[in-house]
Amino acid sequence: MAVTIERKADFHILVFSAELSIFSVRDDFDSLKTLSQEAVSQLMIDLSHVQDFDSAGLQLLLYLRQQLQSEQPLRWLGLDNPVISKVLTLFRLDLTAMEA
Amino acid sequence: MMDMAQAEQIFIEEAQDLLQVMETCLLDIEGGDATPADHIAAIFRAAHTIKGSAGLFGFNTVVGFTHSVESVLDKVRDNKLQMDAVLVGLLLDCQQHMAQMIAALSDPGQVVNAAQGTFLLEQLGTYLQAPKDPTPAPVTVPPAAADAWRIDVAYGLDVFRDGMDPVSQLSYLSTIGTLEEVGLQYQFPADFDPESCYLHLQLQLKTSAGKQKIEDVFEFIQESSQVQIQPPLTVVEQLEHTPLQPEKLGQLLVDAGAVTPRELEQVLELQKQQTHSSVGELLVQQGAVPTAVVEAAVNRQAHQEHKRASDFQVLKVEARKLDHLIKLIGEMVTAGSANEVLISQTNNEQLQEAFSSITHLIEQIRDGALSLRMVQIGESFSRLKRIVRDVSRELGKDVELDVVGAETELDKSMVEKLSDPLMHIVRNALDHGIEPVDIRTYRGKPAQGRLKLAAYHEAGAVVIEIQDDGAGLDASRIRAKAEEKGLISSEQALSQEDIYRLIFEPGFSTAAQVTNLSGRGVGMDVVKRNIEELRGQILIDSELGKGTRFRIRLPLTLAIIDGFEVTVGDTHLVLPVNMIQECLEFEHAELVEDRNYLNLRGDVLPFVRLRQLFQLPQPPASRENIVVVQYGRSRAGLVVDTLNGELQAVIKPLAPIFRSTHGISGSTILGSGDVGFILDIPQLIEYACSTESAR
Repeated sequence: MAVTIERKADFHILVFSAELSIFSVRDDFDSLKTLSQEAVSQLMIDLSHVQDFDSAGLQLLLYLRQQLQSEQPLRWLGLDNPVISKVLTLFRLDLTAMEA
Repeated sequence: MMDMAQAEQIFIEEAQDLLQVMETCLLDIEGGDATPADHIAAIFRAAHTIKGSAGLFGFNTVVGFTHSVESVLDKVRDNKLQMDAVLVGLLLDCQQHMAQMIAALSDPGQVVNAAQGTFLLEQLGTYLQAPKDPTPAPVTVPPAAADAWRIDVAYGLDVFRDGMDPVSQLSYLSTIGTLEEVGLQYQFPADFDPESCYLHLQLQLKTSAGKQKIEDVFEFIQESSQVQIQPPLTVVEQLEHTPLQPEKLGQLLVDAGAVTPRELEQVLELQKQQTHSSVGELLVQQGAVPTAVVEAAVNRQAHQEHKRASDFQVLKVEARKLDHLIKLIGEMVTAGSANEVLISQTNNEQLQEAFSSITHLIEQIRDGALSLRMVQIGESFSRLKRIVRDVSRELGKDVELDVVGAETELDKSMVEKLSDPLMHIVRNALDHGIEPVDIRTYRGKPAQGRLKLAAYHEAGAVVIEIQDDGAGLDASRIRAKAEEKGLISSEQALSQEDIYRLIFEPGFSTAAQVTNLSGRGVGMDVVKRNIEELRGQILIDSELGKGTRFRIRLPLTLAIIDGFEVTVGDTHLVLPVNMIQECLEFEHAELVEDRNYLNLRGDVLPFVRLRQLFQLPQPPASRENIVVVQYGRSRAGLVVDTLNGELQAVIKPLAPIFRSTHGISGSTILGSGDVGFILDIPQLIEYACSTESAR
């Protein structure tokens, strides 16, 4: 199942499913295209349900951060998910940091 | 003061040496044994020196031609021109033309092909007008880390789709060492495709694992991505502590773990296109190693490089002076032996001990002086390389030349006398041995023929082998031809080897077609005579359809040998020590009546009674001894009276009166002042074996 977009108050929450890998990134990416048609004031990315995470998944997150952070501040949920934190630690990455 | 004629002669000799250097270097490049970068300096220097010296003497044609050659070489040296196979071929032709011009200076009979000269100048001109090659954009290589491996992976677009995951690679690397300075870079295009990989990973890894282990992590992405793994600078320290190595640079770096065999192979492949670049330069350019590591490896190679340089930088000594020195040392050896005899009679132990150290020094001086005359046989082999190249082209045959043991040393005078026989055998092998491509293909052989030149030491002798994988010798055809020429009768029984040896008979030739290379039936008899004049032996092995091997066995030196003195009656005889296997008491009781062989621990040993052979009048001693000698694969016994022990024998040529005496190769003055005859062991073994087998 691909990423779902939940709308709560003035938040758009991107909830990634258990799979965030090469097997899901195409569908995730296609689902996220709808965001561009909406007015988004605050954006939250929820990774707490992710169980399978690979480099393709990481790359999609980096892409999202690059594309979206300029428009609105990003908030992250589930960065303490061991599946996610393990990969971020390996690459010495901090998704909450602003990209240069 | 030196007159002009003398100076000109020195110029000619030097130019010939320089042309030899040029030829050797060019053939090495053509054969893939060296890169242009390895030899361009030596080739350029040769041409430059010839041009400069020729100008001093006003040899303007030599200067003009060499100037064009030098200009082309200069462009190669400056990386403005690539030295490809075509250019190497052209430069070899130019070298040959220069050799003709130089030879014509001392020999007015030598014809210089002017048309060829003009043609070559035109060819050189095309290179001089050629536009500058575009210089490839330099690759930015990050500096090497002090004690960590630097890994740089620019992932290819298809990495994810190919099922590869950088996370897994990084995760594995973290298990074999400590990850440091990990950095992930990315540049997403406007048409971002989530299944394409845009990642670029850089990191440092502190690990005790070798480069191969690290490279294996990226094995499956080597094709699709750019992976650079640079060793830490600690490899430099390791290299500095390794002993000097004779290996090539690439192999040295592989052995040090700084480069993997795959990287080396890749660079060698790349070098075929970028012939002006050295392996070291390409490895740095590819990011496989930092410059410092290559420099350290080059320093470890210093010995090899130094050796190579010294090939071209020698101290010239007049042969006359060297011969005089060796003659004096010969006299010293003889005088030393005489003193040794006298001292041994005094029973003065102190004097004997003191003298034994002088004897030891004399031996060292002797060996040192003889080694001055020793040259590597590679000098002769490189001339043969040129012949193989030119002759195989002329005959339209594809022949690969394999040279083994070019560093084997031999007395210079022998190398000179060997030159013609070797050339003749090689020409014969190319002309008659190795078949044309269509016949080889028809016979199921590889289209490319193989010719192997090998030299090695074996039991105090030097063996030179010339082996081809051609048609082999046809014993029945040789026999038929020999009968037709009246060399043998049809009833005569001959072994296969005896039949092969018929090719050494004067006027013998089986070649159906006489070419301008060989087949005139002159030569092989001269080959055998030349080899025998060097106290050598030539043997033939051949298999019809498979090929032929000529084995030339030569003594190490012609001047002084370690000998073993024996006596028969009052005649003193000397045997070369390295041919003696053992000495036994000669037991008459165990002999088969009327036959000259005995049972030596289960083997048949033919023997020669030297008293009978040399017709010495004295009756045999009550106890006789037999000296078992070996030469090559044959051995025989020599029956003598007494065994007197070892000595150094200075070989003196035989007076003409003794030349017809078989079994004696020279004479020497013994310590006692007596004359000793040096036995010709190969001839005696052949005599013993053939006499017994004939019976």
